[in-house]
Amino acid sequence: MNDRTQLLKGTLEGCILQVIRGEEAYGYEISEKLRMAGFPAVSEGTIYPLLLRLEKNGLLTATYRDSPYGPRRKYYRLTELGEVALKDFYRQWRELVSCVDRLFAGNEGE
Amino acid sequence: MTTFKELNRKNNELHHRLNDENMEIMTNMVVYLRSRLSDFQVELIRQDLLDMALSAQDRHVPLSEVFGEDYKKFCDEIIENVKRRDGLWTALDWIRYMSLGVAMLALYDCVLTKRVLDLWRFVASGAHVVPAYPITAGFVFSTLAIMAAAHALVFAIARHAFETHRLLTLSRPRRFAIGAALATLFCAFVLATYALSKVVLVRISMYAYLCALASLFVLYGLLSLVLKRRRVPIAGSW
Repeated sequence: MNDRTQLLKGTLEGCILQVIRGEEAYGYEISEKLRMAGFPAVSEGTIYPLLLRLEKNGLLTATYRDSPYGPRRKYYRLTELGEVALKDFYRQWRELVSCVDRLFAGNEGE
Repeated sequence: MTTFKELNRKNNELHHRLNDENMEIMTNMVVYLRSRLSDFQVELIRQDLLDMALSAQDRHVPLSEVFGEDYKKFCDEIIENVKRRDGLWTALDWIRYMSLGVAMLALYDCVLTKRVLDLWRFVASGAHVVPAYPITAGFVFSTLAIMAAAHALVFAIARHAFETHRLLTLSRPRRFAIGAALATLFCAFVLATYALSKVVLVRISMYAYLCALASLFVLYGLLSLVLKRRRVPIAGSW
């Protein structure tokens, strides 16, 4: 339980979907938005394999565009399947949070 | 429309914009990725990694902060999450390398065994009987051994791209032992090839041999053309 990264790992994919829900974004933008939301030590490198996995599973799609640094940059956008997965993730997350809250609230008097 | 060849050229240009330290890290990652993914898949990933690396370099951020301290682990995660195996193209690429390898070795055999002189004498004399070309067990053995060794060497270098410093830090007796083992293997290979070169498996017409040789070079050229002209997707649906 002392490794916070393990706790984050499972939730990061859902949070990436939420970040790109409104508008498409590229890796660095996504990592910055996650960092601004309070996720510690989330770099482009941390989320790149996750983005590949989400793309592989059809939850998001990517388009290449020119970038100021030279290489074409990959912009990610949510698919319909991704929208469904995001709703599903949030529902499960709320259930989990309320379970944990109930458990801790019940133990407070002890 | 961007082709694989153009993407490769562009990536090579961008690679040289990296500073020495970042260039070494990027080279190791690309070499390691090639041990498990096709050249095409690696080139697409390399494009993404170069974007991250160049933008980090511009922000004066070390690559360890972007990719994490463990580059091998980062590459393993990429390999695990790549969309699909590039089976058909990987097979075509393998056939391309094999055809070039076998063609080059067949050409060396023709030159080193001086069979090329038989052809020259035949052409010069205007004789009607086409000279025969003996396919020896030595040629078959050396071709298979060299191709297998080449594949094993490339795979070993790629898989241990992040550990080359370990080889350099080995103790002197260990390095000597590795060198001696390799030298022994090489001597055994030369002796076996020499002994087997006296065993003729089949004799074919010199024309047939040269046609097969030319066909292998043509196959290599055609496959190179197809692979280099493979379209790079605008959307990331690869």
